[in-house]
Amino acid sequence: MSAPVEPLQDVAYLYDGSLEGLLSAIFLAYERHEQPLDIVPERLYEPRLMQSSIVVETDFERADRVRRGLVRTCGKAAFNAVVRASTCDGYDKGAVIYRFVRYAMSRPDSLRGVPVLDELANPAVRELHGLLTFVRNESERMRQFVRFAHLENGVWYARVSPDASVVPLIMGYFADRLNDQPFIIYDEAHHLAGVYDGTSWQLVEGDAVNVPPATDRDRLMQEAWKSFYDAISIDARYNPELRRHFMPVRLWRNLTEMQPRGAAQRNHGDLQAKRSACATISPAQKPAWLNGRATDL
Amino acid sequence: MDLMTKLEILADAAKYDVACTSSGSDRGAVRGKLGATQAAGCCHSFTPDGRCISLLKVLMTNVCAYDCAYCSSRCSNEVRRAAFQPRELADLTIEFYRRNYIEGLFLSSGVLRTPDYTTELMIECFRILRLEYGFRGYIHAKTVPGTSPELIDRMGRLVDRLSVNLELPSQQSLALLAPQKNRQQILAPMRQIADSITDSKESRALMRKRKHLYGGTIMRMEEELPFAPAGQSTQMIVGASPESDFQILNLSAALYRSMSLKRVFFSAYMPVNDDARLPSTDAVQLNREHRLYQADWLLRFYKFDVSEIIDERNPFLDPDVDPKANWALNHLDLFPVEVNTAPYEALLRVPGIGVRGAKMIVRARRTSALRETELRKLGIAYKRARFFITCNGAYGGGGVAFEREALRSHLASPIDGGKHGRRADRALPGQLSLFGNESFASKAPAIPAAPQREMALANKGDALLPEWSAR
Repeated sequence: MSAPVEPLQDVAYLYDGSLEGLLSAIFLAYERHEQPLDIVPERLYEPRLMQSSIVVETDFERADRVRRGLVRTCGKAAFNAVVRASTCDGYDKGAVIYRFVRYAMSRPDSLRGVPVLDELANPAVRELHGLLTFVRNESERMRQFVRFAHLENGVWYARVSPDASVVPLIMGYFADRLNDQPFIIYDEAHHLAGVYDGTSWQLVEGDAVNVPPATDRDRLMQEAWKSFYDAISIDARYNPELRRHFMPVRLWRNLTEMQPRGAAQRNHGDLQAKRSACATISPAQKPAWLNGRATDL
Repeated sequence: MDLMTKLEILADAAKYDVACTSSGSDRGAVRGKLGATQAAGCCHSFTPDGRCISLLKVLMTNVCAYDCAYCSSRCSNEVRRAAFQPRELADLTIEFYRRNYIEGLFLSSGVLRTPDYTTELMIECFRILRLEYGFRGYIHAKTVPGTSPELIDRMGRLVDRLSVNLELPSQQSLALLAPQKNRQQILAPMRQIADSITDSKESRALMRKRKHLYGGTIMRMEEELPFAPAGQSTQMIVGASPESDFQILNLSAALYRSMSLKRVFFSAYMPVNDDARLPSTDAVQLNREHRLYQADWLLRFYKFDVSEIIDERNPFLDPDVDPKANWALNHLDLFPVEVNTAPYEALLRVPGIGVRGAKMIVRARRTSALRETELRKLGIAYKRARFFITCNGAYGGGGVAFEREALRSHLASPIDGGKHGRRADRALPGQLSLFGNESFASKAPAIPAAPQREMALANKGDALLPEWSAR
């Protein structure tokens, strides 16, 4: 243990963006007896006036101690909530999770019987619920709007760009229902791919995915789906605002039915150019607590 | 004819069917088989009219022996006709499902030769999907009126949801607009399906208990399958015939009660045919449909009785105020309620608090008292709710007299139907027009005039409803 340090008044913790990094930062706050105002990924950090900052080293051991502490005091559900909330992209998610953990670990004894997540009126819990709702909605959107294309090498490929890194949360759902169908869901916003080989899935990090073109049969099916989409609408009820409400425009570029008619889905044309960049894919460690269904929403 | 053209024709012909839902069936995945369903369902896309695409909604064929006035596929219309081969459609469903385009199949059909022949084609398609391909996704089938009970029974074992279209809210209208269909053809299968669902649930519960006693018993595959686990639904066209909202809502409440339906769908009448029997207006009563659905939600999720929503003296729902707010305005003596102590049922009755909001309040108030700030953060519509609640004794609706008319002006909310489309009843009564009234009057008699006309007609007909709901 390092020598005791004087707690800083206005401090920001900078971590590497991973869940383990965030948990290490929370551990550090306890260790240094500080109340950091911001806990943000280092590359996104925008210093406040007169604010000092500390770069947190990611330490799996310490992260796990925070996990164990939270599970011991508040149960698995609370920790699962933290895992899910941490898939958000928001700048303040670190601070929100930190405040939640702080509160959850030191609740008054009178509330022991009530799950911490039920305290909806408490600001610390409510803010976490805000993140959770966002992640839940984003996962649901991915379940709705992922579109697979059948590639020439037999793999089914979908590209998505969600506003939260929810690929780990939806892989189990697709693996279950598609079963023996090998597929890849590539999240271009977070450079993360979920790869399912027909029996188990894992996460792969990479800046680009090199995929062969779709089969002719697949192009036919894409056209069939588009013509179905066009035929099923009733002109007299035309209401584009309502459609945008349910299906935000930001998601349209990965939706087969919103592509120009007669054109195969664009996610293959442009990826052909990146063929040389494909060597950048490297397997990433799947965090142990993402295993199984516990994190499925 | 190639697959693409068929799909276009048969999807186009199916678009007026409303029920594109994939909910009510929770079937987990099984190793080696394609598909699963979740209780809440999943919408996979949304059409330009804002309706959800959850299932591959097509007709088996749009060839039809019947001549219903409102239908685009009726035999007297000159349209392109097509029919799917059962295997062709099953293959297409699987292809779409693997791409996550759809949650399953919705299959309805015109009457090809006889109702039984058509139903056999549909059953063959379901058989291929369920038994041959082992497909575990969602299937919703519409029965063809006049199908024999044995076929309905077979079909029910293969699908998640079965529905019989009521088509129109009264027998008189049905006789007028769909002369080849009759009450018996519609109510008998409905009753049969309701009974089979109950039987199937009970016998499966028994089988589960007895499994280890008679472990060796081998049952036929189809007997093992549950009968329509996602229940039964129906749909009716609103605005093609003179029934009032009062009649429609009483009818659907009766259906929920006696047939234990999961859903009753309303479909605003779309003029597709020129026919003397149909209303000569191009006004689509979308706002009326919207209010009917709001009332339907009150019946299903808010524990309202139909007599609380609508009565005979005002047989149409208020176009300006939603039915729940309307109820609250008529029962001001029950308000305000204290959010921190009121039972869940009382919270559900507050305008601005929905099912989700009421549950959140109940959950949150266990640990802390709720004041205005907390309530606002919980995400209820405080702006509307404040007139009907107190938070820790504090009333937030000050400044507005606590009486019907004053509150009504605050709760009135015209339906926002977007900036496009043909909401022909957008023109409000008494609204000034720059142009002569002549040109408009002919085009849009629409809602303001319609209720009176409909009421007159409805009163003339002798009690239409008992005809329908009688067992």
